[in-house]
Amino acid sequence: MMRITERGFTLLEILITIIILTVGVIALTSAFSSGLLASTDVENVDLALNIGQAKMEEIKDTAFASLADSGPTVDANFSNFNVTVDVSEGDDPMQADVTVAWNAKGGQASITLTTLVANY
Amino acid sequence: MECQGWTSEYYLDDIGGKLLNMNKGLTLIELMISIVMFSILAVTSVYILRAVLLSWSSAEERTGIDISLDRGVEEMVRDLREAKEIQSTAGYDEIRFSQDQSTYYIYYLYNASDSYVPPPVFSEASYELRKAALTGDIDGTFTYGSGQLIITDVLAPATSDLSLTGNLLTIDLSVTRNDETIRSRTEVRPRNI
Repeated sequence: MMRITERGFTLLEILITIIILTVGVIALTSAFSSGLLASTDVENVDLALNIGQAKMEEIKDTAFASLADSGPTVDANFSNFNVTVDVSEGDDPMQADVTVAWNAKGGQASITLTTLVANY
Repeated sequence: MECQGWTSEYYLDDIGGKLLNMNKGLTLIELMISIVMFSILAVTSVYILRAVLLSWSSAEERTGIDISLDRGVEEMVRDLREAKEIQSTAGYDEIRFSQDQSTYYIYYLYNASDSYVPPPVFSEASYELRKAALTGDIDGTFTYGSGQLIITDVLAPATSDLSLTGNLLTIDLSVTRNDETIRSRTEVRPRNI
């Protein structure tokens, strides 16, 4: 007579399956969260660029003789960001570096803008 | 061994006995344990996935705001940097300017429920930032609501701020969509003044 030749899973096999599934789910979730962190990074870089650009415009609005190093100063509007100005005094044209640094996940991040200012 | 006696029935009968003994499934207790474990896994997965999807949609919203805000601010900065003449009355949160001193423009905040009656009150929650041409010179008039749309959903002043200090323009805009707010602030010193 015909017998159905099937075996069930053992408990061990099911446990292994569950572990593999869990590892998969965790991997998938962490992929999502690193994507989310990256989008926060983009937001911060955009903001830092605007802060740095604002400082650059202030430098353009300052008399050549009054340009000097400053900072790091905490930004008046965004407390997580600080601004450092570094100028090469005595040079003409003078090089001005504006560095904006902020606390990101996993340490400090920063951007630097550089320009030359002439005494005219 | 001769293959003569090999029929399908004979074969199945011969090994059928062994297969019968091997046909072991799960016991009820094993089945219940595995169902419980699967349920726990499924429920936690659903919760984790729900949290992930929620923060994903919030990130998506923020990215969208960031893109339109940054694009708008950049457009204004590039436009205003070339200005030869600028004017912004304190409390008006508008910027009047000209690049060639013959055509004049204004950046202003517009809301359909509001009207342009100086001095502005900004009683609505959010406004559209628009750029319109002025009739006449820098003190000229314009049609409220006309002009090019730069950014939508800009929070009303004083949260947002368009102002002039000396020759330095401040552009400080906060945009809110679906409970997500992003603020962007920069300054412009028009080069030709």
